[in-house]
Amino acid sequence: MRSDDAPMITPQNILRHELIGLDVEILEASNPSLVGIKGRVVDETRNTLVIEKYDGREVVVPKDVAVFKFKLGDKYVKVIGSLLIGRPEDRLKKKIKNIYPY
Amino acid sequence: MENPVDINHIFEEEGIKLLKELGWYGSIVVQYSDNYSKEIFDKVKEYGEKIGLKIYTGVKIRCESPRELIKQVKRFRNRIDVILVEGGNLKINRQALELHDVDILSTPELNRRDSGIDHVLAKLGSTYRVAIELNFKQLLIRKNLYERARLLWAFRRNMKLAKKFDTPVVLSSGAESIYDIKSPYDLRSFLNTLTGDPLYSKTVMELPYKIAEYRAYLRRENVVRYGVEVVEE
Amino acid sequence: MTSLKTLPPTLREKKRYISFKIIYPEKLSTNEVVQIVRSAVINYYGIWGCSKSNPWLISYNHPKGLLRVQREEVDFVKSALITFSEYRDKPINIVVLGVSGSVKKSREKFLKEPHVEYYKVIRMRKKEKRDNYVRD
Repeated sequence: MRSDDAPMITPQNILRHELIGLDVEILEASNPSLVGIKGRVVDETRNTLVIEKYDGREVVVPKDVAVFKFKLGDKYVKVIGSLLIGRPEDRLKKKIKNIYPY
Repeated sequence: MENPVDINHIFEEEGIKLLKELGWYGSIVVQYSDNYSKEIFDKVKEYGEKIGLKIYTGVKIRCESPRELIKQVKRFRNRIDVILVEGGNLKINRQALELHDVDILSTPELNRRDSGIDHVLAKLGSTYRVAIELNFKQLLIRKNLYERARLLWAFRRNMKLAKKFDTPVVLSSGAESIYDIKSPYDLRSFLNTLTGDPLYSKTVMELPYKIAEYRAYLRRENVVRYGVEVVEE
Repeated sequence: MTSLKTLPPTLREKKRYISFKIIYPEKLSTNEVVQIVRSAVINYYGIWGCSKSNPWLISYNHPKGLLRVQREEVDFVKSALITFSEYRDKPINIVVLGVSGSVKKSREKFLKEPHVEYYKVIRMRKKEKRDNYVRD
């Protein structure tokens, strides 16, 4: 499944889309050693993303502690990780979560 | 207490000056949905900028049936920062607590003998994040001393349920003229006398700021839903 | 002939000074403000509560005034002052400017009035009385 194809990934449907193959950077995380990791998403499970860094190493990052920045075409989209929880096949069929900051 | 924000019906310059002098950071100016006019909001925003008080807009919806409530909420959602619903009728209370578009439910005990909220409704408010408002103006309107005591009993019961189920709670002065404006530290000590927990009253006073900032954040152009944002680089 | 001795500091009652401002269409005298404060506290907090908090008006120059209360009951007296909304069929609003532990600091910070030490005030009043007596 290629991800940069028509129909395009838009910021509206990034929560339901396949994430494997996108470029990603971690902006904030509760674990300070995870901040600033840049790479490409290789695998996805219910709670984690496996990111391969540009120097070849693979890092397993839990989804609900970090804020990710994905690259779609020429724009960047910042997404809070807790919205992406769920296996990719479950997220496809309409699992939209509502979170609030208070 | 950082950035206390009040909810009231003050539209004149003298009132806004007094609010700034007492120490409020901002104010949510509320109009009723029956006679709603946009010019008043523009005038109040002008006075606020001149004096240095942050103004957010709000609308209080009054209606008879739950279906009419859904229609009115859809009408106002994209133009206004904060939406309040006037409670009192059990069906309207329930419908307002189930819509996540509504921010605050005011006066659930208006025109009722009991307190207005039970544990089922408190749980609903907690999952959909709708706040319960304790309106101070109702206390000043009642002249009969037993009515005032009954109102304080309703406040205490709603606060106890909301604390147990983690529902957000908001205390507002509901001022309509210059004689009703109170200072934020006074309202905080009033909450301290109702429950014996000073830390809980601090979180209650800080909540309107968080609600108004959340709604203002959602109205920005590059935000799609909460947590998703388009960033240029 | 002699009166009671002042208690040592550990046994003394701990007090706080509340400085407030009244918004009302007319000018009020000191006696009226004493009535207002007492009836506000009794209507909200009851006779027992008024005895616990012991409110005492020290001075009132329209529109600002100074009130002394027990240290533990400051929250209750502040809530009592804001629930008092009508006097003689006209709306009234009592606004609290601040709470402090001494008279001098509350005059400097909140009331913005010049502070005169109490012994000098007594001396000035005695002098005035003597001058009036001599004149008569």
